[in-house]
Amino acid sequence: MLDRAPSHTLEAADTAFVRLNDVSKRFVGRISSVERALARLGFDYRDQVVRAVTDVSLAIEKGKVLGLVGESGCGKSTLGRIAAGLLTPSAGSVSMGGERIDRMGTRCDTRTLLKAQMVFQDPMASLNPRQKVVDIITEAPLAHGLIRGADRLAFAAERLEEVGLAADALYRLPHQFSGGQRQRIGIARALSVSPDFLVCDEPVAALDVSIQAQIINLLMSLQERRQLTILFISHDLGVVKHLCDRIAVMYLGEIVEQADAAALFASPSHPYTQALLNEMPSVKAGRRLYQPVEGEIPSPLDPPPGCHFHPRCRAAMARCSSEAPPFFALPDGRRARCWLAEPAPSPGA
Amino acid sequence: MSDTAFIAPPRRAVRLRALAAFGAAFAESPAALAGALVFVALVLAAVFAPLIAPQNPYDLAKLSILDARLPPGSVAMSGYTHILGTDGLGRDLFSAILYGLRISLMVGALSAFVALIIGTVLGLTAAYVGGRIDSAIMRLVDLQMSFPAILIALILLAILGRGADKTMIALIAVQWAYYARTVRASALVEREREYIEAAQGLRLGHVRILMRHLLPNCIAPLLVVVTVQMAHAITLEATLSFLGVGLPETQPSLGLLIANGYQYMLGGSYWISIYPGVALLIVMVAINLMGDRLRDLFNPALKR
Repeated sequence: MLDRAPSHTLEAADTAFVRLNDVSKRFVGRISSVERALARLGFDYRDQVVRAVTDVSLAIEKGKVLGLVGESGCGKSTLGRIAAGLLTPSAGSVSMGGERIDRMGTRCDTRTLLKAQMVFQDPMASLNPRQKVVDIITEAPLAHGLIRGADRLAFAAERLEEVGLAADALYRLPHQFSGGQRQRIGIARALSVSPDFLVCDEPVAALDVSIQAQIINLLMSLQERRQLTILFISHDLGVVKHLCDRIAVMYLGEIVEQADAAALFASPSHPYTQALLNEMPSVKAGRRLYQPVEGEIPSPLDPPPGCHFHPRCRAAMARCSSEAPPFFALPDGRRARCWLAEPAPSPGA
Repeated sequence: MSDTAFIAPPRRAVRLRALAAFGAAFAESPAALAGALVFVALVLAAVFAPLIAPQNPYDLAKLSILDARLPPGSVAMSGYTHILGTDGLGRDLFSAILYGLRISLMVGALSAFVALIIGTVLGLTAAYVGGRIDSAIMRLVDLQMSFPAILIALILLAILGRGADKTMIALIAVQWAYYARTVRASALVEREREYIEAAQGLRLGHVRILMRHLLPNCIAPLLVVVTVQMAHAITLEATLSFLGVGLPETQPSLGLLIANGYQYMLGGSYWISIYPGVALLIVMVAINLMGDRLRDLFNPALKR
């Protein structure tokens, strides 16, 4: 986090530890056999395809934090679950330390899969309400033979201490804790299998603002101590700014801009990023300059043609509604998916 | 790491306290408390029937046909007072009811329990695996539930013949579907919660996730179904025995006792049918009162 050395473009990042290559995820709502028969007779029935994530490539270097921001419904949680190996992508691959982790089940080595863990948004729903904290933390390491049964208590107490909870929490149930404490337990559970890569899916969105800061600080210190590589998903740019080395902005299943955190906040190149930054409540201005992004996020069932953002974009041109822009590389390893970022002489990239 | 002595497990105390709290909540309804007390009393009476009953109704050598159809309160030739009278064979009705209760409760509870296990395993599997297996199991459930329970039981018993074991098989066959459907419904909700995803992310085995994570969170609605279905099983068994296809004559259950007295009903010997019927009624009411209270307690909409 202190280390904000200029990173190279993502394609060239050979040192990348976690890598998502052209990952797509479609959810298909299949029609029933009756509807299929009707469709054959000419009625308008077809499978409903939601393109939650489309051709996303990301690379995170070892020990770095990548922030993934976007409005709710843009596919960032789906992408996070794919990165953590919880969902199988429809296309593309996910690798960590050179080994693929994108297939659930037996085809991947369990020890490798365990190296990618997830911290969930809702700390109440993500803890089994009938499991005591000691079991929540030690179940997986015991099941995988990472610790011995005799070391169970000491191990659990150590993990609790690491996330800032007292050992007297061991025998309590999740509902006996506050939201922040539950999230600490969720983090302790993720750490119980010593992961290298942590996907944090809006880990502070469900918490009070005062608690948010504590959890963010905890994640930062853990990241430093354990040299964790983190994919941090959030819709809150303020949180991301504080924590991340690099930021990817997602809109309707696509990454629209990627840049180092400082560069992105200094001069956002994509109109969507600009809109998101304007949306950020600012304290410095003395009053809240709150300009929400206009319009609704379109349905991923039926995305608009051309650039997905053009119906809401203030800088939309005629071209935007027909042609989807590719990624244009900008100086300092920034990339934006917008015609405005197109290099002057030759179109395309 | 500092010493771990200070984190000694307060395990038993915590569990007991939770149980006590649940008991207190349950007892807030006087009807449910009364139901539970009556039920416990009936179970104890059934379990200790050989010690309580003045006569062994299965021991035909002890019966005297001369004592047949004595009205309640009569004194028999042996000098014993039959408080509920005797039946057509000269059996002491009070003893017969105690033994009949024993069989009825045993058959009801055992079949409800086995059906619970079968139904739970199938329902959990259906919800967790989904897809074709889910469809197959649930169509089987639909098929089973689309026929009246008594019809399926009658057909099965017609094929299998009479007997306590065969009656239980028939009862299990008509009951498992209710458990499967209930478990599947709650498991479908729980499966979508993030702690299941977390368990999958920790690469725990499917069986472990099913048994340790999914099942414990689906148990509450099942308890309600168990009580209702146990009452249902007891009535069904009584009906089958009454129709003469359930338990054998040598082990009269409550249903069979009612059936035995039926022929004497119009002759004025009402007690032979009525008292076993009253016993059955008390069992039903007690179980249903408990079941209602459990349903209220486990209904999240009524909580707090």
